[in-house]
Amino acid sequence: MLAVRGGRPAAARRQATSRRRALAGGTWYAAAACVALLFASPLLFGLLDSLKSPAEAVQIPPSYFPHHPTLGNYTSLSVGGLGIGHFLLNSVLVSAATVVGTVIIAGLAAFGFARYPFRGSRAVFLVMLAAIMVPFQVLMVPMYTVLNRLSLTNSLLGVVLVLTTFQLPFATFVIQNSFSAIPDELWEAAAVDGAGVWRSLRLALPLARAGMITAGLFAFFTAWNEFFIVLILLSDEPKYTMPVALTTLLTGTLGSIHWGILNASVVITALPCLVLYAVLQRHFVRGVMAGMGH
Amino acid sequence: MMTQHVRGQTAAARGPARRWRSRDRLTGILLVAPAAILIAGLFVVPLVLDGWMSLHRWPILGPHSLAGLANYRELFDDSGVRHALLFTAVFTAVIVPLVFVGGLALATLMQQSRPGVAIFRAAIIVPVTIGFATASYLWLSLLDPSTGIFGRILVDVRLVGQPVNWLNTSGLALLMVVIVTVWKLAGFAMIVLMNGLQAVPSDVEEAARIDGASRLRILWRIKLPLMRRSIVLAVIFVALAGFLSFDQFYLLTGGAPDGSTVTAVYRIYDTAFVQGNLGYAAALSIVLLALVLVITGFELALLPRKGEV
Repeated sequence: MLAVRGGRPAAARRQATSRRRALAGGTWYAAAACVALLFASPLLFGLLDSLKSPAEAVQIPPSYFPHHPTLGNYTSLSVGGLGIGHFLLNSVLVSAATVVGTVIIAGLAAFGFARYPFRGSRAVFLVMLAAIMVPFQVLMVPMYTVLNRLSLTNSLLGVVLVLTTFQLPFATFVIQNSFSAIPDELWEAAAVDGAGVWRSLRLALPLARAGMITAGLFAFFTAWNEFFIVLILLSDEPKYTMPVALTTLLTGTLGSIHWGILNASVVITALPCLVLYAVLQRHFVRGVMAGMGH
Repeated sequence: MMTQHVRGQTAAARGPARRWRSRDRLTGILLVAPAAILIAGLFVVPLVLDGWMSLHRWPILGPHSLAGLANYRELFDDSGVRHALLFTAVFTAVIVPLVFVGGLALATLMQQSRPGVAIFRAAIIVPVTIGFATASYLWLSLLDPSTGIFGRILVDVRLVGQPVNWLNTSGLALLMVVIVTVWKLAGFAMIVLMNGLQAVPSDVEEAARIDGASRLRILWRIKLPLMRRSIVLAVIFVALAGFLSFDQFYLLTGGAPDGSTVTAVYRIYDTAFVQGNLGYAAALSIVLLALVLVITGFELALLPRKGEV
């Protein structure tokens, strides 16, 4: 496939593209902009909503644009009496620990599988891959029972362990692909130089960078956005991460929901995802094509 | 690690290949151990325990007792469970074609390399990255019958006379969750299918065009067959996402109206963690797992083998 594409004369390709461009330039832009706006509009309306004053937020029918935009919802953000910073910190801790744990543990395992195979290592690898096929949703009941026995329910560590475990199969798979692409000569040269495990690993890590970034990126998205696992495992409100903490806004203090505050929280929760996607979109696409994102 | 490293060097100096290999084996085991322990403890054990618990009366508090296949027998007579499974299947059957066709249309539109296309693509992919819970809170505010902008827009374009309770009206509730889910997943399908479209050699496409084939015909007869891998990947992913959906129903409809939008995973959650009946929930989990494995089995069977397109 690649050979065919590469073999096509560049001139012909340019000609074909320019012809297509001439055909539907303006129409394409109009269509693409409409579609993009349609997809962006929910978030844009959420953003506009978050800038409304409390009085305007309860106005019926609602206004499209805030008459007097204010950052009040952002500066007075609190959820159930606790400042939003508290829950953001929980989210940051859980996400950071999951990303670091996933990348290190999967990185070591991938290195071991690629470089130091042992009897049964293939079987272990296959069990890990098989884990991809079993979604955590059907294991939450026994998982809760296991974690309860270990006193890890209602603990952020328990959440991190579950999130990490279910990231490991794909992470190991993706990172191992990077390691496998390293030519044998490099390992041999390292061995001749007397490099031990540690130095070989330090030598190999930069070459597996792409795989590790992809694995880390998806570990972040999963941990940051996870709702179900947190809802089941944590029972103390102060331990909640953002997605579950926001449920307390729905019950409201006086029975009515403060939409401005909720939307400000939505914007804040969504922001890191948008930034990371913008910075690492190549890795995002690669991960999706490897089958990540379940 | 450090001591191993030093010993490794002395062994290299002596050079007995056999000792090297056994040390390498130990190294391999140590490197894989942390991952293996986590997978064993939080995947293999729960998987076995899932089956074991499903054979018990297992309340969340108090002692459990062996019940044989009683839980499974009850499942077959449980109209609530039957409704949840059926509803989940219908929901999945609705979103899969919508997301696929939508994703394919988006992919054809956004595949072209023009200045600014990255921004348009990003606008479509953003919903994919933000998580179902976050998306649900957002839509909850947009869909509020009195202060939500969704109703205002529909009134302004004269589609409805006045806003209704979108999320608590039979039929409408499902439609709303379908809209949210398609909005969330279409970008995913677009990425995957765009990748597939790019793998179609454009000289093949041009040859067909010169022969006078219409655009639709080229898509149907040439492009789609050549991008089987991407299609299978996109369809199965969306099918599994639909089959296992929970967040958006929990937050948007709460099962309303009258428990008609309770999905299979929602049912497991409710049985286990609201009613405290872990054994029965485990049995339902096993049934759901079997159905998931059927879907994944289709994926493995339909994916092109190496060398095939």
